[in-house]
Amino acid sequence: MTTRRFQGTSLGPLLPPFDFAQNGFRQQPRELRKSWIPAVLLMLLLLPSHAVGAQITLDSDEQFRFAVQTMEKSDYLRAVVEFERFLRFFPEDKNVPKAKLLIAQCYLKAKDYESARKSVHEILNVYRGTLVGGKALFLMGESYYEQGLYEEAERYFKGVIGAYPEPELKNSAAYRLGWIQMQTGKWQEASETFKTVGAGSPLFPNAQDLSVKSLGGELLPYKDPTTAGALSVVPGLGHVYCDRYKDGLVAFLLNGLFIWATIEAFQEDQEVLGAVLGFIELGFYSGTIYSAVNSAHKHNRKLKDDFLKGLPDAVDLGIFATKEGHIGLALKFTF
Amino acid sequence: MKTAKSLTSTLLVLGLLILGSSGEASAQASPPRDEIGGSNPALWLVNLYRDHISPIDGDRCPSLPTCSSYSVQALKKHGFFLGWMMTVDRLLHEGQEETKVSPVVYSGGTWRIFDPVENNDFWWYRQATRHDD
Repeated sequence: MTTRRFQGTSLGPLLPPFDFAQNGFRQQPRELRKSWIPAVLLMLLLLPSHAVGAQITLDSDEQFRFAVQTMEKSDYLRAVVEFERFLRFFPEDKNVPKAKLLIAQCYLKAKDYESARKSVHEILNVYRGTLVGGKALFLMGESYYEQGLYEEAERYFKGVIGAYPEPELKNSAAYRLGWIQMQTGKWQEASETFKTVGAGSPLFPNAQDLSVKSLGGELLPYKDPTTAGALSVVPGLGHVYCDRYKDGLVAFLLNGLFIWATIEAFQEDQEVLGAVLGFIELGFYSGTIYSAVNSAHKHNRKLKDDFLKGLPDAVDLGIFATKEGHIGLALKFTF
Repeated sequence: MKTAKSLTSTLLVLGLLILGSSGEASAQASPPRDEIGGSNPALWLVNLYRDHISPIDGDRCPSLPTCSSYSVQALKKHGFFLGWMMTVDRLLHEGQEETKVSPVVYSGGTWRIFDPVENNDFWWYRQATRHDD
């Protein structure tokens, strides 16, 4: 524990330094004593009582605890300020790496992903290859995961697995990798990845459960985007395939009217009008195919998201702020 | 003879429209008031609608962003052809059936279907991200 003391009054710096204990009044010249005594007395009279002698004692543990408490209250950006204050005044404290990780995590919680990644980069520059570095790399992956950038996230979690042998870190990264594979529809791969989570890990029971449940993702009633697009050769049929009957009817009528108008225009020797109508219809026709394919993708995404919402995610990054001050992956089971 | 004439006219109109269209790069390079449309006829048409028809016709779009805003964004992001296709897609799917797959949010004093451009190009388009670690 380190302690720093600060004078509580703003008038402090205005007073000349004077060590009463060492020098004492008796050793001072009479003139100096004469000029100082009334001035000091006058100042003491003018100062409010609470300002005299008020001082702040900044204790490293207390400051760290306060920052963690601020974080626990979900006031993440204020917590960042408190952690930075801690780092500023106690740069040599044992909790410095933890504070740096927590700053990154605060940004993550505040959904400020760019700042989170910037903080992680700073940690990696100092702690790469150590356990703290591994945790920072995990947070980097998590920042991409939360943003829905699964390709990048996968790269970082694989990096953690490959470069950091610490079992819990490895297990957590494998667990998250499984989630990424589920998010990207690789259900079989996800099932296999969940099986790699070690038996000693607190994530093990949940991972085992997910290795079975993830396979259910394959059985969801997906719509095939290619089929939807192919059926849209007859405008509206692709929408019907995606259970969007009204959209299908609108698509059929709109395209039908434009095709009919185009043919009529050409038959009436209105070539320019026919060409304009034909051009517009070309846009509508291709737009209708796009719309059917898009509808299938949106349908599948909704199915997958609903399925994943029903699965418990045990990784909770509320993790770094345990009361015992552990840096580690704590658990939150959602049933 | 008649068929050849029709074909020539069609190709001429198509050619003019294609030449007049512009993609993402030219849309970004245009001046701040690119809502006017610049050399992109589709943007020009959308803005004609926004500036002169919509104020009289009233706000009837149930989605957020509104269909014309969506169209402008799609045209700027993906250029003329894909922007147009996405606009047609939006016009087709803006009905009640969309609420099954897109969230409904409260905006401007009413409930609207939240359906930005990213909600309709997520399966084929993604922004480039930095890899610096």
